[in-house]
Amino acid sequence: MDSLESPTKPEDLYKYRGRVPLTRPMFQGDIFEVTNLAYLPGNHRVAIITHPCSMRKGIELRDRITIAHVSTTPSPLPLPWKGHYSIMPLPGLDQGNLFWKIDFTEIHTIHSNILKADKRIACLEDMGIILLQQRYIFYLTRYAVETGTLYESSANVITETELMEEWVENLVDYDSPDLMNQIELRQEEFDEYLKPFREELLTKSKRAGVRREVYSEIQRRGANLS
Amino acid sequence: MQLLMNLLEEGTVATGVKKKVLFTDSESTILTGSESHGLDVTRSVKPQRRQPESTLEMRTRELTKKPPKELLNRLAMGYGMSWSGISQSIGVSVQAIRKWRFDGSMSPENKMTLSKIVATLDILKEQIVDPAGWLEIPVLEGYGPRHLDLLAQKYYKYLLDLAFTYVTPEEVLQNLNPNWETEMYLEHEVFIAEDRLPAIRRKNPHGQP
Repeated sequence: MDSLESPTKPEDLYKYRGRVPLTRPMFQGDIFEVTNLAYLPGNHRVAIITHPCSMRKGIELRDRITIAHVSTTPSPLPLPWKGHYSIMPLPGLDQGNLFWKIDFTEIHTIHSNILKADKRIACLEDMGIILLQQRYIFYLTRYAVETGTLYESSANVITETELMEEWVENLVDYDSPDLMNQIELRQEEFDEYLKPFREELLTKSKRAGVRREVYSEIQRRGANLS
Repeated sequence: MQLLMNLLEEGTVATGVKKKVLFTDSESTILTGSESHGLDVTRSVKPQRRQPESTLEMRTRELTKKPPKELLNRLAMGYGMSWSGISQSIGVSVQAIRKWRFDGSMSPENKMTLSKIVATLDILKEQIVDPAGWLEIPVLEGYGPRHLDLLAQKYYKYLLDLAFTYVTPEEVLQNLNPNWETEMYLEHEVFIAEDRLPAIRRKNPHGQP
């Protein structure tokens, strides 16, 4: 391939912008507002860079997570993107007139408890995550891997995360006084339920079958709740 | 396997196209019983050409009468499509899909597209056990476009013709891009590494050992 790929339009990059549901598990490409990092005082935006296969231990985030700083740039990078391999442009990240980017020259490892679910301001859509991976790999190695292959190598965890979100969103008790605890409990249930299906998520033709099984189980458990 | 090959030979149809390989996947090289990735090999390929396109239009019209939420749920929960795949197929953002799931209102144009996607999967189901699973595999193993990409490009006819074996994957790719053999070729492949997780490696060029 001759060049790195671009989204067709900016909105294709994002799953959520602005308000991110608490039920969405944290994932590569999620963007947070953080305050007073150990190495840098003040308010900042950061994005998770850690690969989704290695950011968790069970359902818990690992203690240390690799992030890149999200900062502004004087002018937007027009589509299709050319060059500028040290950044991942984030066009339309928010409503303001600022042009945001993930800056691969500002990579750090931070404690995961700094990343608060209610301070998450955006999640990338599948294509956004894969474009982030493609650009980051190229920045580190000057080697380009096509997005189709990158997607297939992460599709199992992308699918699992989407299903976990569906599970929690449909089964959590939103009236609970401790919603975050409720969400964690539902995530643990899902993690346990999915165990026999995890191997099947590695095979592209079997993922749809796993989705059907999970939705069927969500309906069954939902009916028991009501 | 021999029975299958006989069926494929029978599948030579009005177009005069002789079927070679329907589709393959990295986990199996050619259709075999349970490894058939959704193609129902218990049904013979019909020598008489049907007209799935006209059936598609008819079913689409019927489905436009259904509420959007019902159609979306049918794709996600009934067939097992991902929300991302559904959004790509309609040509809107995942955020728009999410709004429709909870709000229910959508433009007539998007409603028509959504109905056509459901109708396409309904027709595919006549030939393929798991249409949504089939959508996720490449039109031809080793090359970029997946069946899902054909759906997103609104190439419904190609999808139906592939499923009904009226055309070969090679013919579809040729129609999409005359230079498909070089420009759509994937230089890398996914394999399961020693830690049992997917990883990427460069392929041997065009299958050479």
